[in-house]
Amino acid sequence: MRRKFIALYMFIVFLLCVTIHVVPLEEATDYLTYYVKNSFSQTGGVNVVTSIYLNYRVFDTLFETLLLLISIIAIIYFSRHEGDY
Amino acid sequence: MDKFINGETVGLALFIIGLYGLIARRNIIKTIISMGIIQSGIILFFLTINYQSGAIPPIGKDLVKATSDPLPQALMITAVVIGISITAVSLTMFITLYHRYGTTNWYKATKKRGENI
Repeated sequence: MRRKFIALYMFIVFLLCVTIHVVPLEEATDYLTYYVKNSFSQTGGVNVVTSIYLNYRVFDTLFETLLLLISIIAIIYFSRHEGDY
Repeated sequence: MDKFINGETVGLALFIIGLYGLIARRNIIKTIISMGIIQSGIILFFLTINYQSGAIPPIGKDLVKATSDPLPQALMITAVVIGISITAVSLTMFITLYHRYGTTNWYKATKKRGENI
């Protein structure tokens, strides 16, 4: 019974999210045109995704690799039990 | 409502399904699976959010046609890596917790730890 109520509530939330447009897409197109027009002259990369990934948002990439390293450290830390569970 | 089933709607549906799994289920494995479903929904939503029909990939020097949005594609690479990290750490923590308490239920594990919910 509890699961059915939760499912009904989630369905209502889904319908609200579909019917109400929350993202203004007309403003988002400005960034698209900016990146597409200026990426080659500013970064020298032919692929715009590579330009964003390695030049405009390079700190994003840098800290992503740092997060990968931290997760590997966490996996090694949680995997060592030394006999006691 | 010309085309109801597009990427945004399916992404929202995946997000809601994962949220239901997070709320209604008490199995730890199912919680981790729900988090994976939520990540898939978010990635699909962001990749298809600014879709225009007839758009080409954003590769080239002088682009005059409408291209697909390069910013969500670059951001979703990060999201994929973060999702894999979260899933790996969660499964490792679950292995330790299962060996220690012998249950896959959130509330039984909490009760065996002697904590009040």
